[in-house]
Amino acid sequence: MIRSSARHVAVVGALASALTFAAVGSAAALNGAPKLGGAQCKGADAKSVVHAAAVKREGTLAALVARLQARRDPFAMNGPQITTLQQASSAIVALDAKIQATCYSTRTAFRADAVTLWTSYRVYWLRVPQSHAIEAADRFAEARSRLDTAAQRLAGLVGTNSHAKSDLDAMNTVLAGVDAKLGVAPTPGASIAAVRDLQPAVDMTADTAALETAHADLLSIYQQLQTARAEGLKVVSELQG
Amino acid sequence: MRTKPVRRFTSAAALALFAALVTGCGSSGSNATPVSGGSTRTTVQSHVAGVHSSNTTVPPSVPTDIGPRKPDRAALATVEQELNDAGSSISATQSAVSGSDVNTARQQEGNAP
Repeated sequence: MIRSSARHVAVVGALASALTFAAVGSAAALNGAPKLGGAQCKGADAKSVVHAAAVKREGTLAALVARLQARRDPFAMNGPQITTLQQASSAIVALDAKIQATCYSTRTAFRADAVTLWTSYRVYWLRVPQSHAIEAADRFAEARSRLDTAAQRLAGLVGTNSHAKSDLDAMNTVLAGVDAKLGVAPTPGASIAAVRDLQPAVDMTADTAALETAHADLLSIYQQLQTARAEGLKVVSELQG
Repeated sequence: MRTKPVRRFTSAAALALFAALVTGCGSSGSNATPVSGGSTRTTVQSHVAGVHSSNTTVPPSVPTDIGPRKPDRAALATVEQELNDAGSSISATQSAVSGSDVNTARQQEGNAP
């Protein structure tokens, strides 16, 4: 009786061990850490981080594409940028799939692939500010066009009203300043054209400098357009007397 | 006996003098006030070969060359609407402009594991 019980316990224990081993093995496989010729794949613990980063970037790129697709593209920059963003997204999907499927023999090999998700695409360091700068130029061109229409109409209305003429001159002077930075469609201004042509790089020093210059110009254009509009409203006020 | 002549400045004479001053006879060019679109009529003096002619009356819709002319309200309203639309377009750029700030955007980049 005692012998029988001991045997029963031994069988149950072996079964429990087998189940535990199987469970651990399954968990390891799910975690992307399959065995590689008896040795564990390297970098498996970080694959989920890479996957999350890839998915986040795919979403961001899709959002940027949607923003640019909704615009008019007066400088003909949106179309090429949309293509670039879509190609980047496809490449990131492929890179992520490769990393998730590969059993790396060394941590260095894993990292060499993983790091390209950052250095080869620069989604946030380059593509986000670059795409926003292109969109901002697009929107500014629309505002500039409206102000130009208003200025032309006002030119036909000011007559001999010297105050109105003076304010209209100020408006046109400010608009000329806008053109110097924004450019005149279809030719973008220098800093905006420079941003358009930027590419991802390991060393982002030059890219960062170009993006900072363009951002400063965009802020300036924003203020200038506000000023030009205010001058236009002053002309209207003068003429309404 | 010789009597001193009496000069009488009759009310009729005073009236005639006043009328002459008001109409500005002897001046040149138009003395019309700017027409502002009211219902009153404006009297202008017209010259033909340097000779004064009789006063003519013109309707208020005839423009004069004196003083700033007010553009019609509809035209100004159109321009004002265009300026308001421009204001909306300018405001709509805020998101894109702030998104173009590289130093904010790069913070989301993170580092490879």
